[in-house]
Amino acid sequence: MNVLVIPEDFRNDQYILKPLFDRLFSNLGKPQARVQVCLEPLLGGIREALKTERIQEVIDQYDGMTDIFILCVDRDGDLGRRIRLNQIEDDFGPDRIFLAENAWEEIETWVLAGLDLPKDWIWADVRAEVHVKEAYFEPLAVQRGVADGPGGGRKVLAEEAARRISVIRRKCRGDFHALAKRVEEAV
Amino acid sequence: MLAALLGPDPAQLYFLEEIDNGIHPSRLSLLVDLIERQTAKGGSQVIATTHSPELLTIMGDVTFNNTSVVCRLEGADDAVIRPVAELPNAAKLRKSQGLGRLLTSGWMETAVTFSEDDENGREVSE
Repeated sequence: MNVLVIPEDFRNDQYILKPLFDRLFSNLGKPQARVQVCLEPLLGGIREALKTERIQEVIDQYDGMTDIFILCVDRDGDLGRRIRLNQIEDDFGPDRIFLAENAWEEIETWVLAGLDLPKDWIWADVRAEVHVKEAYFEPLAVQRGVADGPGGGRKVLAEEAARRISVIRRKCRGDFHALAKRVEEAV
Repeated sequence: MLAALLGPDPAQLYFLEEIDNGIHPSRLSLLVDLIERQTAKGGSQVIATTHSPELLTIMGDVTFNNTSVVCRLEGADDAVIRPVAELPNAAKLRKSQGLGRLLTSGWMETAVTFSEDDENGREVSE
């Protein structure tokens, strides 16, 4: 099974999405699934990632050799983003398995959900923070001494978080768990 | 490179590593053009390596059909070599998006990974 994960900007997101989806598919009984993150440089931000023509270019590249496409973007506090993702799924879904999800509020939240956080942090606050990168993830990366590593510590921390996929699903029910359920149904 | 290839007594085979090294991207087309013209005559064969998206973008159809990608698949100890033209939709994508973009976006490595067969770990889709 070939899985292509499409991030809105691969430069940092690749370090998060690869280990999380590797482990998710393994947990779903598909340890042989080959998960690749799309490194398309033209997907340089949410505006480009939500453009139909840009996604079509990625589909053109990988259609016929990919079993599941998964588009992952940040919600960024935009409650209407799900509507746009539904439109994208309608556009590309009929001819292939194409799932889209927005992380509340940023992809880094999924990593934080799988880690042991400082005791004075309240998960509900982390979950509700629109700028979770700056407010929580980056300080934690500095605290853990990994901020100078690949992706500003995302590689190390995401690989650690991926070992607790069930916890991430429990703490991120509206986005990661919802996506995981749809993946489960698809495979 | 060109002095050797265009000189009075060219060899039958040249192996050129990182053919674009030190050459301005805007001059690459001249280099590729001269090499392709010379090799088309049949006297010499040139095998070259590159990491240059620009070079891949400007090379001609014959060169494209003789181009292979070398990569190491995830979890493997050794590398594989695959003809680019045999990767899914490669010729079509070369025309619509350009081979250089496909290299930059990691498409070649992913296409090789996704195209590997069962004995190399491919899990058949259900």
